[in-house]
Amino acid sequence: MTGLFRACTGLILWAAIFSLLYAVEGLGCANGWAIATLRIVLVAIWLAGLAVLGWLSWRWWPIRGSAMIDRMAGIIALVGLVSTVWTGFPVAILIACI
Amino acid sequence: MKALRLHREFSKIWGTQRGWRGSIESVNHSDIGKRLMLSAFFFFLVGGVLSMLIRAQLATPDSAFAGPEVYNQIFTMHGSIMMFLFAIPMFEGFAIYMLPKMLGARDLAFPRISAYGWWCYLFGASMLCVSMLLGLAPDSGWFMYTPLSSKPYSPGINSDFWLIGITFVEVSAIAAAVDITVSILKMRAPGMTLAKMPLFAWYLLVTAVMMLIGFPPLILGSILLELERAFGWPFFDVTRGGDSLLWQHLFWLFGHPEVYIIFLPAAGAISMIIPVMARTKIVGYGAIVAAIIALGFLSFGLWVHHMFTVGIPHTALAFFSAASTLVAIPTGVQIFAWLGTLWAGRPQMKLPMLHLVGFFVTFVMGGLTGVMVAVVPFDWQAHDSAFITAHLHYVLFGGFVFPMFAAVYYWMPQITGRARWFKLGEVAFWLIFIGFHATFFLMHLVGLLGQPRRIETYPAEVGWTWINLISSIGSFVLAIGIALFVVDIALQLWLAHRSKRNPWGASTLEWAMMQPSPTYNIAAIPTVEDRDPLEKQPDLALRLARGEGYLATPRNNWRETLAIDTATARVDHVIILPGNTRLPLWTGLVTGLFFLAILIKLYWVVPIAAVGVTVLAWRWAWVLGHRETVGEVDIGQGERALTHPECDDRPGWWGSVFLLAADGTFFASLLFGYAFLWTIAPNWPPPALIESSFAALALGMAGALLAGAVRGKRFAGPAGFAGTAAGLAVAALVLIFALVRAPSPTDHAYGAMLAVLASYALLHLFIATVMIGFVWMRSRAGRPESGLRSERRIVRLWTDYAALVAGAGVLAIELPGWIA
Repeated sequence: MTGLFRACTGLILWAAIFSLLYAVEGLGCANGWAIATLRIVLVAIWLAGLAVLGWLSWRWWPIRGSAMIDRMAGIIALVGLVSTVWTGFPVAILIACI
Repeated sequence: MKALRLHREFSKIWGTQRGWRGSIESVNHSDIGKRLMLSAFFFFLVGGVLSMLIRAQLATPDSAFAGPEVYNQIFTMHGSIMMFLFAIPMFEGFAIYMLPKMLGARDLAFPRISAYGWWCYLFGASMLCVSMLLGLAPDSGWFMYTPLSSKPYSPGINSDFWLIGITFVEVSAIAAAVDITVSILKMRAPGMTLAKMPLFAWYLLVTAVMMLIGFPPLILGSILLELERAFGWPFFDVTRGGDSLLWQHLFWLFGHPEVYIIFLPAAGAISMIIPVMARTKIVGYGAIVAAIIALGFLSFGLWVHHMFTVGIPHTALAFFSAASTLVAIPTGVQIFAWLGTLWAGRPQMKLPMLHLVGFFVTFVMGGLTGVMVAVVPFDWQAHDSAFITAHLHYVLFGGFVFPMFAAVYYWMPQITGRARWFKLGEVAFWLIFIGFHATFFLMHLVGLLGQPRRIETYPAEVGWTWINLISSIGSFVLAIGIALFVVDIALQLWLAHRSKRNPWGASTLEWAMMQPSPTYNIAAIPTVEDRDPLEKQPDLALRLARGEGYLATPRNNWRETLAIDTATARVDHVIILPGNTRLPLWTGLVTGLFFLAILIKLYWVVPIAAVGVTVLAWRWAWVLGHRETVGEVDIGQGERALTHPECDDRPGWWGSVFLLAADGTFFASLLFGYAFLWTIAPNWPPPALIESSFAALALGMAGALLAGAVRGKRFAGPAGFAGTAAGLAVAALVLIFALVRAPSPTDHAYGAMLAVLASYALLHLFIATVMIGFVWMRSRAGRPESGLRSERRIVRLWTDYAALVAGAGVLAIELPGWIA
């Protein structure tokens, strides 16, 4: 069961970062945070998430001959990394709260 | 001769009594699966008739065929039936029927739960049908947006029918999801590691987990809306601190994953059929598994794309737009893997393949319009227009109905033992294919010309007449095609000659048994060495029938099947499944009484029904387990193993883990709703907060900690029980005290949220207390310690969860008041 959980970790992290970005954005806009502060916080969360997922992708990258479920952990970590790059990049380029 | 003897002996143990008594008692997965599929198909036809009424209404401008009141009921019921009474139960039925056969098991992990789910589905669906016959059907659209579905704008009982009927049906979906998850993880044939599972099992595993996470937000939303409608608790009423957007969030948190919950099982069927039709092996097994897992997660990041026009900040829109485009990639990976398989093999254009061609064409078109509406500016133009109706039908009909037809033709010989004889199927396919595209392709155009969805009529001057007329003619061609399909299948069922075994030359285990399959599936459980067990051993069916494998000796009237270790697929223990019983029927009836009493506002009956369900649940668990220690038993192949009541890792433990995962999602959704209202809804902060009480906060946390503190062997002793019960009681008192102090739930959404939070935690404290009482009584009744140990482990898990939600509930209730 641990192997299965590990295989999903990359996307569990993606989901966590995605939810956190959405929640912080909603919270910041509702409470009238300064736009610059909000952007710094959002970009910091995004980059921190990318760093963790990047490290995991490197660390878990499949070794030839390993079991499928172990290879899956590395592949899904990379999928999580690419997904986080793609779904999170708006925080770096768009103006929040409009 | 040995095969015949084994067949007789196993049939005696696993069989069902003839006649209606047998029918209502059966818990066999083949019976339940077939019932679900048949009833889901019946509802598909009912939904189809409703769609013909819709097209009859829209065929001409200024139509007087149905008035707006009736028309609203028709389109609401069409959507609701197709989603909740057809698509989900259809694949549940198929999974319940087919999974054990594919995995090399004799039944699912929880046969009585499967049967209970079936009764809940039947009663819930009947409730909705009765509403239609009475002319009181839901009429606020299949996604029941507030405030339209709220009391002031829908004062009748119509919306209540939807909220209560659908919640009742969802009970069956959650039951099936737990059953499927545990069965796939624990009940595969020995040797069948996750990497050797048929792809269909991977698809179902991800789908079932998605159901556990996706359905609770809808169940929560339905409960909150019913509380608002029945008692005036204003969760969605903006004037009193509610927010109608909360409904949209909760609904689409379920609603978008739902699309994938419907598509993935169909894709699982496709992944099984295509390699057989192409006479080769699937290309990119690992890539497909990665794509399924990716879809399972990414599909939860799309829900806001249904809400692009409601006024959410652009950055947030961009997250969801990006995720919506991203999800096309894992879908594309599967499409290319299937195309690659066809390319690598020697495809035969048999009838299942013809339907899969229909799937490819239709689903890819639906996917492409999906990417279009994922882009915010386009969505702003197309939102709520017939373009969306066209898109969703391309995705759902393409992604579910065509594969379903392919699956029916592919697996019918397995289910009925008969070959297809009449050749109506090809004609039916072309009528369905042409009819479908004539109906829905044009809807894209009329949508772009400005026709909104769900309008009951339109004036001739707007220029939509010809398109609508052709659409309507197309829909009737489609209906004739489906009628021909029904005739074709009926002829196969009753008139066709016997099919030879494994007519397609498939290599998976569901073909390694008699056709139609016997009640016990296989007389011996095989050892699996690769993904295509029948390829190397074409005579496997005969060898299993002769008892060459595990558990081939019937004994003690036990319904035995094997449990494995999830990762290594080594034999772990023997599961003894319960036999036929009326308990699921009675529990379903009493659950039905519970929901019916809420619907017709006989509130005094509700607690009686709740007590009834508790008593039946007690009985349900009491009849399980051994009266004496059994120890290891012979399982054949020179091996021995323990039986499940004497194992910590028993199915009940895993069932509880996954049920609690769903329950936890429900609680998380509730906390999300609370936080959402607090930050986003107008008219917050509330006029009055709960009176701060540090004592309540401290006592509540202490109670929760105490309830969770007693662990291990100490939990078995009287002191451990007493300590845990005391912790639960303290937490319960604090929560009751909070209910007394909280502002009235009818004044503001804040008070209503506190009441729901406290009630939820109290319910779980009650469940934990009953469970502790249960194991205590079992101990007093002299049940052996070998079985009590694993039961206590399950109770500990539920008690931990109760302590957790009680602690979190106390914090969520008390902390804001105390800080302020």
